[in-house]
Amino acid sequence: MKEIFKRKVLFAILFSVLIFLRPSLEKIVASGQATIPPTHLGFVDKLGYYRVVGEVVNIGDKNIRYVKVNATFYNIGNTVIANRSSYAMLDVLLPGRKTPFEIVLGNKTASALVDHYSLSVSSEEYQGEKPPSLQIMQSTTFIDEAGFQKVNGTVKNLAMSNATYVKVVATFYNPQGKIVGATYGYTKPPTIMPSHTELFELELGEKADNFSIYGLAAESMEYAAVSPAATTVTVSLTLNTKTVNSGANVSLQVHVGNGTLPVKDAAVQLESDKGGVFNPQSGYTNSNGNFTATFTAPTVTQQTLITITANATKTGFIVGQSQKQITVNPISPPDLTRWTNFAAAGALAIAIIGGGIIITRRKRHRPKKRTKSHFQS
Amino acid sequence: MKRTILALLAITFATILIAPTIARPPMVLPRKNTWDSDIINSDSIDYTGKNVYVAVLDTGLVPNWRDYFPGDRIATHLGKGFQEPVHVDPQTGELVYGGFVTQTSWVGSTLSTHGTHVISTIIGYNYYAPSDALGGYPLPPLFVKGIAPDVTIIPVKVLSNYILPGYYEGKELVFGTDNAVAAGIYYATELKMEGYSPMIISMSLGGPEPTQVIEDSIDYAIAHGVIVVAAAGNEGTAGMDWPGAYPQVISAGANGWRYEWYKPAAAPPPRYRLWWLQDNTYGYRDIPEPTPPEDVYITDFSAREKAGQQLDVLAPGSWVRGPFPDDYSHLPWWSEGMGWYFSTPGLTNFYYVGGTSMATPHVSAVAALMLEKNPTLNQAQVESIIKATALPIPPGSMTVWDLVPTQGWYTYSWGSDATGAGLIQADAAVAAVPL
Repeated sequence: MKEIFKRKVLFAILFSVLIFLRPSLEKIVASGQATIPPTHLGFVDKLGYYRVVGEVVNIGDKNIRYVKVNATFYNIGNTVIANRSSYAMLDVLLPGRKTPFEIVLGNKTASALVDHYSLSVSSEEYQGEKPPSLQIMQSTTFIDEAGFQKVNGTVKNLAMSNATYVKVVATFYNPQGKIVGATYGYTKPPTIMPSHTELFELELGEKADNFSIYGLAAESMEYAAVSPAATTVTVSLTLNTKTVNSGANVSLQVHVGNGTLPVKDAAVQLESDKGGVFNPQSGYTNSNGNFTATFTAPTVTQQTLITITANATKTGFIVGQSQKQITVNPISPPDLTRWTNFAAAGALAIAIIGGGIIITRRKRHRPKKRTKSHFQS
Repeated sequence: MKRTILALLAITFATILIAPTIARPPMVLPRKNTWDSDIINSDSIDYTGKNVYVAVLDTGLVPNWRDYFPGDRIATHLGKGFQEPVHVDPQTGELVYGGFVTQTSWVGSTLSTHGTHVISTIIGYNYYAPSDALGGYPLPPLFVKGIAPDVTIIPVKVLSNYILPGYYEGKELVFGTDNAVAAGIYYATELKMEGYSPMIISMSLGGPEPTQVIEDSIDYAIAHGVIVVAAAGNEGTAGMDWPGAYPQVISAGANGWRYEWYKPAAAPPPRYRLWWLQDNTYGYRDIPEPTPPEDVYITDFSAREKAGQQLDVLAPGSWVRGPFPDDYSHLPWWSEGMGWYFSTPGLTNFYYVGGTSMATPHVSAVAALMLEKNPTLNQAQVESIIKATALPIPPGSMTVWDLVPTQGWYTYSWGSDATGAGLIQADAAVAAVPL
């Protein structure tokens, strides 16, 4: 049985080569931005079904979706036996990206008659955004006890909101670069929260005994995978003070760069782990790669350490992040000693209303030698 | 073509008594019986199911199954998996079925534990729960005896994990399609024809309506001498599931025991952590022989027989202890992930699980004991003997202490449509088998 399987695979490989020699028999029709490179392979699987596995590449400059591959199967007399179609495994394909597909002729009788096949692909432009924010953190392959190829690994959500239905796609290549298997699955759980990492476990239904390398990709309803070529934006968060009183303001500046170059129009999002208000909380970097905001500290009853996080992302880059901590001082009871001193100086009149402190300057009593800074409380 | 999703028939019961295994116990362990083997009297007979094959059509086995089962009891070389591709059409949002099956591993993910629990009822399992000591009742490592501990299990994975965006609130589901289940039935029948005989197909699964592809495969199996057992269903008064409802299939409803959670001689009796273990060392409450019918109740969820359906027998399907590692994501959507309310999941846990899924392996195992005695028995003979020797359970009601649904005293009521021929009795069934 194994020998038969190998012969079938070899037979299919030979035919894949013939695609270039005999385009009338093995033509591939590309549609718009999508095309099928000659890495596909046809073979009869263990249950007797003819399978074609391959990949589609987005050669355009727009996102595409509904990538659908159609296969026409022929017998040795070049008569059409059947047509089958299947969507590619990734739902949205970014420019330059590729996705595997698999088409199964689910009829054993017809499968036994297949001599060769032709492929065509269709797709439509996707107007929406699909920022690359999912990162395959690690993966391992192994053969399970039943002899099936499995891939385990983890995916991290680098975005600032949940990634839902996170799908992981695996493509297996033989040493000649042909695709010998493809599969997909979802992370467990299928939703990944921002900055979280979840597990995935994939099984290749058909053995890919002779695969030499494999590739992984991921997507969710909201995000695409971070491209291996993509780089992380560098984010630098600066505060104008390390300590602030309750309710007081702090100036922040976020700088987003790529190496030594500033990144313009990067989306910046600010977060605090213990309250407070940002103004604004999000926005885009200017041509210098900078984004500025004000943080109004929350009112606290005891000294509190707050962590401020700046996330920044831009299409084509991996999300970057920077954090800074700031100490917020609580509202304190009136310092009578200080009050006495001020009063003695004739500089201030202090009234206490409802537990708050109102400091009123009376210009006529203000010592002329003092600067304004002395009256900043 | 109308399709039926065959959902698992399991109800998650309390998971308070989780117990992570912290070290591999000794290889030879003391063998202990449990309430369920006692109530069907399988603990008092010498037959063990030797030389009988049981193809368990379910979720396969978890990767660490050797933590629980003797390696020689699982025919790994015969294990198989079948799956029909199901996906959501990205343009129309409709569910699309492949129309064919693909072969998969019989080794499920760590999240597919239903099949592992089902198999544990048949052949038994290693039990080691250090957390019992934390609860005040330390137990040494032990081997919980199965109903037919020497059966050879063939894991046939026909239930797979699916995530279908836009369906079932995005929850991960485990189910099988008609085509996948039928493929498993045909496969087990082919094994029988190859000489792996006698062969029993045990299906703790079911769907809401009959389908021709399933019935054809069952008829084919029975015609070739395979014994087919299936769950009655968990929809209670809504009626039975299929294929359990087919007259030609031996179907299993689920019963419980009056003294679950009781501590002997204590007043008030509940709760007693080790009630499930029938062992003098730990003060068990033995079930007298013959089993008193007044100690048996029928669960609310156990399917009631409707016109055109046939409920055959009852078997323990309430608070059945067994290995149930990791989480509950494989449970059907209507379980609402109840397990999560009780505990944080972890590998190598033991849980109580309830459902006609749990009753089914009890019946399959008793059939195995009968076939060990006489391997030539056919489906009709096995069904006839099991029903004739069952303990009749009259319609009635019973108030028992239960964790679900009340976490207190709860009254179960049932009519004659819930009983079938009554509770299976292994000793009587085997005794009635002609040599």
